[in-house]
Amino acid sequence: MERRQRILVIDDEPDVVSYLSAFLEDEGFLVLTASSGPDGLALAREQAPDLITLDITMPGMSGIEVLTTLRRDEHLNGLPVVIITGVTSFDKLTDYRDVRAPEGFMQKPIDLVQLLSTIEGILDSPG
Amino acid sequence: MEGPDKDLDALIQSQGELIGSIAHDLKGLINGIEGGMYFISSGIKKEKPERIGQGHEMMKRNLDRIRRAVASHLYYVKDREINWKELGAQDMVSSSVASMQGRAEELGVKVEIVAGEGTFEGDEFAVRSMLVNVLDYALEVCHRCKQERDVAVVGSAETTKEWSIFDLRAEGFCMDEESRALALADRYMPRGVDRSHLGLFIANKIAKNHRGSLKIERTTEPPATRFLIKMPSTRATG
Repeated sequence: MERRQRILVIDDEPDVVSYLSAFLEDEGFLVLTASSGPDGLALAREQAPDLITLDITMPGMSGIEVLTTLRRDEHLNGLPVVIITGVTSFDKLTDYRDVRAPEGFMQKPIDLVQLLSTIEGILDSPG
Repeated sequence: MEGPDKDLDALIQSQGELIGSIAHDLKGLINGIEGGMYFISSGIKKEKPERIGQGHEMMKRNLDRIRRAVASHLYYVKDREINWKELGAQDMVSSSVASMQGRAEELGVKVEIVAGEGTFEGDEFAVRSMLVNVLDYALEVCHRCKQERDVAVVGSAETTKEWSIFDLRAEGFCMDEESRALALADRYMPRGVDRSHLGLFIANKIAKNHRGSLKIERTTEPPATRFLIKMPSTRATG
């Protein structure tokens, strides 16, 4: 299975990055990885991925801050974002409310079937 | 609400937060194990031995993390009697460092702790859990600022007739005042979604149960967070 879409995985936990990368590569995606918010934003600017998976609880710059930065950047604000987090409810994360919500939200532990279907649904949707 | 009712309410809230933290930790551990299983099964399917090895390492690392988490949580909830015995400082340090070596390598953080040959009295299970929790926190925070500067966990363990002192420093990192206060509080309270100080909270409790103390200080030259554990070397001196 060969797809051309590029997915940027942003997560500070090395095992999660390895796991997601291996799975998404096996599904035919090209995968970029970053272990922090600032690195993820830099890669997003350089590489213009088709979608970002984003952890919330990261040291330094949280996933919410990354999402807010993406949404406020005129070059990056169209990028679809799937939040993958151990936080049980996105309602608890109130700071995101003044920006457009993420296109997907998934809880850890990661359900691979649901993840793939969420990503495909977003990438296949028009516009 | 006043008096005992207020105290009870705070205690119940604190216990609820603790259960939430443990559940949050478990999610991370399940993720690690599922990741390992994915590497192993896809490695078998694709006939890629290196992938199977990677999965095996991932499983092993996360099983170690489960073992450590269960040990310290059990200590916390059971409030058990101290099983006093004579312990070697070198043995305690080397076994604690060994159990964190995989995590240190995974995070790319160096650990160098020099321990003297002396002995002291304490509960082997609890003291190891205390050292591992402090090391775990120090590694995590070093990992967090690794991209900004060189970091390492360094330290020493010394015993005298009166005191046993474990002096660890997470170099390159300065812990903020709020995290320090939360780690040393009487009751466990997470800060928003950040629950990373639970291990330090447990370590502090273990030090206190041994009639000792855990101090957390900021140092500037070099910039570091210093974790200083001081415990009586014998039951009699405490």
